[in-house]
Amino acid sequence: MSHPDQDIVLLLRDGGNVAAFEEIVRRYESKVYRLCCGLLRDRALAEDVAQESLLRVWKSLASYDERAALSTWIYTVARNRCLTAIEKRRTTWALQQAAVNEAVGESTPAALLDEGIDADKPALLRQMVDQLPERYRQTIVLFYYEERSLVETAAMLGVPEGTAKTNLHRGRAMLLARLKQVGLSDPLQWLEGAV
Amino acid sequence: MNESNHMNEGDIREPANATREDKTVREERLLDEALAANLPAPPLPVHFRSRLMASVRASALEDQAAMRQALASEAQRKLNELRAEFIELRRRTLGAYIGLAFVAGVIMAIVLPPIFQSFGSLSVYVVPAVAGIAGLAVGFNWLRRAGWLD
Repeated sequence: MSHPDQDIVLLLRDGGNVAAFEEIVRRYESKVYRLCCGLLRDRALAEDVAQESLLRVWKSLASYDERAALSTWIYTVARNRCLTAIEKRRTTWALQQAAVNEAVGESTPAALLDEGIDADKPALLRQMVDQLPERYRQTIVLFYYEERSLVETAAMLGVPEGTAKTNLHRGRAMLLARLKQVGLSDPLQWLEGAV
Repeated sequence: MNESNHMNEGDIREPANATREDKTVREERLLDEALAANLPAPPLPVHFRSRLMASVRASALEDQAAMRQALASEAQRKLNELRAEFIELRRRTLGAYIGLAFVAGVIMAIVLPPIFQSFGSLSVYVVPAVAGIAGLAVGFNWLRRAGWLD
């Protein structure tokens, strides 16, 4: 079976690193950026980390040994950079998170619904997604970023497809449960408004 | 009869089950649509690629500068080594000269008196001849050791 990135691998074998990198950028820049957005929840930071990841790919291109698929290798580099960024900014992140939690506390979905406010449904839904456990949140976010491609989502997260599918299913079930939990007697009606 | 009863029960239950299933399926479908509508892929920032390529060029320049610096420091290290070796050689040479002069002085002090005693006035010819022969012998030995006579 021919691999989708076979042309890039051939370019690398022929020593055409510059051409190979240009093709990698063309093919993967958006995906790497979306992966960083999905993992980091901060677009400005995601842009910086995506840049760093692709720069790292460029610097390590000569050492790519074809043991893993090119896409897997690129996503691994990006995930590792994201983890480093998270680690680096853990203190700042904790402070920001505290601020976010404070803000969320002021306007939780339940609070907004209880007040009878016709809340901004898309924002509320995104907020609910943000409050999911990390592995479910990442899977759901990347699944929809990648136009519902489970294969791509699993590859980006570096997990088996079955795991991604389970996380997606559990995450969505949890979302539905939360919709009911926040006092919506009819989630169907609410969801219709959120589409 | 029994079979028909079961059929009837099934017929009665099916619409209720089907409605529940329909609702669940509809909920899931709507949630899927809502998520798809509300979690759009973030667009790539406008100058993302140009910024990346600039970083790549800068990193290549940095790499070149780092390589140049590494080469320069390596050359400097080699030069320092050569200089140290040269100084060491000069010291050894000087030491060898002093040693040779001392040995020559000792030899003269030991050898000259018996020669003058034996050869009398001919000693002025004998001493340079012996010195010349000794010099030739040493020179010959040195050339042989250096492999110039092979």
